Amino acid sequence: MIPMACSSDPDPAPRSGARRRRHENPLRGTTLIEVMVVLTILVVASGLFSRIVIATSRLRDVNRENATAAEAARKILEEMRNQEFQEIFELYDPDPNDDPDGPATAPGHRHDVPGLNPTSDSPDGKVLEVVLPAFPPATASKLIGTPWEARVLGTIQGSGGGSSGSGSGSGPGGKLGGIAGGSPPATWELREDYQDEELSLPRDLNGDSILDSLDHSDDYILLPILIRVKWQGRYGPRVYEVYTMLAEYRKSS
Amino acid sequence: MSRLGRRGYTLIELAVALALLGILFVKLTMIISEASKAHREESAGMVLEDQAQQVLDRIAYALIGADPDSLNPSSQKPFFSDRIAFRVSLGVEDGEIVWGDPEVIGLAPDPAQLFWARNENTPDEQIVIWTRAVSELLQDELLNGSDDNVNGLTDESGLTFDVDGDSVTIRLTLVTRTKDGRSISKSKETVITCRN
Repeated sequence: MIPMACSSDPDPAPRSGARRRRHENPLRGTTLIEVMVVLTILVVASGLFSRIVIATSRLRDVNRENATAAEAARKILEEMRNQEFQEIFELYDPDPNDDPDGPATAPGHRHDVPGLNPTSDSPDGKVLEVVLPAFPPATASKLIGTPWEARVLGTIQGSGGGSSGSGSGSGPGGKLGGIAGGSPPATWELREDYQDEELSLPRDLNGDSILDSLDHSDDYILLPILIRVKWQGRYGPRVYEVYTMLAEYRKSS
Repeated sequence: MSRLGRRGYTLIELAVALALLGILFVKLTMIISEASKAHREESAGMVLEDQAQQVLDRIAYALIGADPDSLNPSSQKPFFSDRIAFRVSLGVEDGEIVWGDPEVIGLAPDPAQLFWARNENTPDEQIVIWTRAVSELLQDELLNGSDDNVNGLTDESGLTFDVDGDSVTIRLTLVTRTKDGRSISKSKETVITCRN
């Protein structure tokens, strides 16, 4: 072993049992192996400590970002509640042509959130999206994977808004009422026959106890809403989602 | 052991070592002092932010059950108010809505104090101060007749309400000072829609 340093004790006469057990040369320093062990322990300890400090700091940032996203989602829901119930769909769907006060006058489905940066895949640099069961008429049939038979709840009725047909399986043969066979409407549709677990669909949205494939943007009494905030966090992309369902509840004036 | 091997430190060596240690100590003290100061400021900021959020939540929960027709004043952007009076529904009895006593949330004569009051200016008056740290003006706003913080309001106070239909936008800025006199302010904003 190579002595690393010298003891400063000039008269190393053994006094205690511990000292007696030491090597004959009381002037010996610390060996390299001892120094290495101590240094290793110190490095590991300081590494653990640093990781705890960094993790705490990260958690604080993440919590702050989550709180900002949650507040933004809550705020947009409160703003939606302040609208006339029957106009909420038209105001917050992706279609600018059905806005009650003229094209592109409504808040729309995508919004900025101050303090949150968009992800690289954001199409418009915005982070908050209002997701409704809304589909452009021209592509609705492509969006819906399995045609959903119009049915009185619990009993299959038929297709095309419960107008005709019966049985099971493919039901209307893949046609979607209000789309197939006719000229597509100009605006997006609110559909209750779309299969989407996130929006708790299919579900009777107009209260007629029939799940049909019609556009219910004018007669819905329930409106499923998913607010999705997707942002580029300090430590990677993050998503916050909140689901709710609005219903007409205000007192009559 | 030879005499040379047992020699001690020279005065020069000791002086150099002490000087190096001194420099190291001063640098270390400066770093620790800066870190400590930053930590204190951040802690104060976090405490203030928590307080602002708590006060804002209390205001929001108080107003969320209010009758929108009872909101007074119902100032709409660009107008605003630093106080709002309202009533909440307690339920229905014999087919009639039972309304609670009138309540007020606003800034006290000492504008740093935000209070909630029930039956204000009556013998049954109850007043609770919710915070004593309200800023004179909302964050980034100056008293110059302009909308400095681009929120649609001009020269707004540290607490503002503006009403839009059944919705109330609440803005709050709290301010505090650190031990070394630096000012820290935190702002919160939310929107609620009255449910009753």
